[in-house]
Amino acid sequence: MTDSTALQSLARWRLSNLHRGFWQFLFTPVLALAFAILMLRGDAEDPRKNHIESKKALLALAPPPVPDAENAALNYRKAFTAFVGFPGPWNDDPVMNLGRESAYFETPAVASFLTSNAAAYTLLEAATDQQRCNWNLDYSQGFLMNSSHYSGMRQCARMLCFRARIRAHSDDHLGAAADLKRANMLARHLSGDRTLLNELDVISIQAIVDATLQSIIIHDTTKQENEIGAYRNVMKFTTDPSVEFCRVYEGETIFQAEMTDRLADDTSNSMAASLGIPMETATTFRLIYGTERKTQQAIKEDVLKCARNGEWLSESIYTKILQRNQKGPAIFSMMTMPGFTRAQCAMAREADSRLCIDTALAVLDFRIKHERDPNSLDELVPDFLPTVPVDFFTRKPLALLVDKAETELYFGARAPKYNLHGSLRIYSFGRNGKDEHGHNPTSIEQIHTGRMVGDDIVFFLPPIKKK
Amino acid sequence: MGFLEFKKPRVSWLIVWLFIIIPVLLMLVRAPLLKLFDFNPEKPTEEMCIDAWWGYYSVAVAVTALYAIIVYRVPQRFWNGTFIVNRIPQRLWKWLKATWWDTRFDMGVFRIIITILMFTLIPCLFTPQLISVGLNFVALLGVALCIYFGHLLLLRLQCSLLELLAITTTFGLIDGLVLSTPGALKLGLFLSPTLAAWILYAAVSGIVTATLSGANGTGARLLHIFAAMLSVSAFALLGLGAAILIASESEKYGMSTYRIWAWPLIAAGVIGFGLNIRLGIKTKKHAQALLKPTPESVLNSPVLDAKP
Repeated sequence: MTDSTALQSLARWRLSNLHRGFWQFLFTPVLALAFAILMLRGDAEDPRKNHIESKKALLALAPPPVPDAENAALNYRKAFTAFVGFPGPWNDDPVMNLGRESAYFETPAVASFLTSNAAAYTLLEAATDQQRCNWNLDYSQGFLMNSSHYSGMRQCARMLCFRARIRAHSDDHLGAAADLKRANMLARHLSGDRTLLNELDVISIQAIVDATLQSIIIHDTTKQENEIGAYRNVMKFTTDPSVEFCRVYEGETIFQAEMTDRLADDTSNSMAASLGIPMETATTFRLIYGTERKTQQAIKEDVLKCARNGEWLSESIYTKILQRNQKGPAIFSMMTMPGFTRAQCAMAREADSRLCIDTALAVLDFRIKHERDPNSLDELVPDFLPTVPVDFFTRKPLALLVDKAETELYFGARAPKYNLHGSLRIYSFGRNGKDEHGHNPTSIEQIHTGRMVGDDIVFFLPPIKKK
Repeated sequence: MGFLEFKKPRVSWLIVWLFIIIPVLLMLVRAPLLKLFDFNPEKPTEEMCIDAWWGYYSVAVAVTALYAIIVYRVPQRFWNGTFIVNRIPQRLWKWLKATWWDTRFDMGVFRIIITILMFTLIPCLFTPQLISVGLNFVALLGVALCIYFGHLLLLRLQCSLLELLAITTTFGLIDGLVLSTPGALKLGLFLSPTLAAWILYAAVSGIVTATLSGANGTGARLLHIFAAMLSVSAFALLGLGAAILIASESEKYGMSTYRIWAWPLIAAGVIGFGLNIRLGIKTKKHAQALLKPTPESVLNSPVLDAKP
């Protein structure tokens, strides 16, 4: 090659703008990625090292072992398999119609369903008589831990509540209270594992019990003091929801940290593989892994501090906490924050609901003794309540209201209309702290026009029957 | 001109430079370098320094081996034709050499193959099931580009030893930092060939620009190489800087801590873009003069001889 031909070939190559632009276009994304790695380098963390630590913390979270003879979980598992399903249409299944009118529970199909499940009830009674429960979950699996017992436990709770309805209707309120107590025990047995999902299942079971008692009070009200005492004993709420939230939150964040480490650690990518995530996506996730991990740790401390101070964390406060502690891109922290807000809210609502129920039962006690309704909740102090209870959200005392208009209650699509004149509402003011006269779109109150607003937690009492 | 007056450098000097002189120089400048890339004071910088050194040394070994094979062994056999036994391929080779190898700087066929390879990559990136295939493809594409630009640099342009050392050092530093980032080893390995290809492409582009502009001094050629590196990465720098700036405006992305990087990146991108345009205009003029010489352009050209 001569000098001039070589130079001309170089000149031709240099003048070809198209392929120079093409190379530039090709290198740009790769270079951007490489520069991003260099930029995030200061916050990068080694997922392998972290995973060893987080796995240790997770395994330490497992409840202590329980001998088989004392373990309620074994009886529960047997009960799950012993259940006999309802032979009729699914929407007539009694365990799904716990709020129905009392006449429904007298039908032969319902009675035969109860007797066909006698063996399952025996197992359930044996399980709820035991104090200790360990589901022997494999904590080394982290988030992929088996959670198949949750639905079974909810079914067990419904079965017990169903029998409570039948017993209450046949005027065996003490038996009904015992069944509701067993359902509560069932929730306690579930709460041994400190995951958020577990706690939501516990709340769900407690809400089933609350709804059943509401139906019992509306359809088959008791008039005996000792029976009301038995119900009050069952529904007494002893755990402070903020303490409970801290307990669950700490556990859940350990799970979250382990999940984050596992996703980024390619030596144990069973999670990514089982979720159908390609290994290389996990590799890409490592880019933001360091900032994600740091943000999680910082948020944890901040949230626990707020929760311990008794603050109810609204979404705006959570957002502020996130912004205050965010060290960079943090996808999981952003995704899980709303879940924690709602879980904390659900815990406080359930605690408030139990307060309302206890106060409503105290009103029933007052009614039996004085043959009239109290004018305010202050009248219940000190004979029926030590003080007027204050709610967990706003620390304001609960309220009592007598409905002047007719109230329609909703007990399911197949239940007949149920109207009450002059019913009583015992309610707390909910998260917004406003007195919305016991209105709340998710309560059993039925409206046909407009849109119901409010977030009060409410328990209804039927009007006093005049002699 | 480098690619015509090429003299084989001694491998012993290459080894001395790669394994003794450059590491010592890097040892001297490691503190400011680490400070630049790691703004977290809690990190064990010494450990990362050792990691980066491993990255550098592996690259140095690979480059020395490649250089020795390509520059000392393969071309000799190519030029002598000793590896061709059969007569027909020998004739074919001579024809190819006369019509294609000796007249064209850029082997267009390779470019077309790489382009096709890149377009096959696009569906992989948009299909979740094929992401792993896609990332392997990025590495493969990087290797193909390395071969393509490596052959241009080492066989066609026959860059000097100092230029090769500058290229190796830059690559060793950047790739060493990427590979030693905690948790980024795997991703870094996927990106390494393409990063190497970027450096090689920039070196080719820089040397061509320098040759066409008549900048034959050692320093000028090196400056052209670095200018080309910056200009090739201009869009990446600008894009990343702009993305950080936009993301840091919204609080939900948590990018406010990285905002400090946005303006330096944008500034570097703008400088690279400016260099791209400036050098492009300058070289275009000289290149056009070479292809269509006029008496005036010959007089002004730094590379053409005005004598008849």
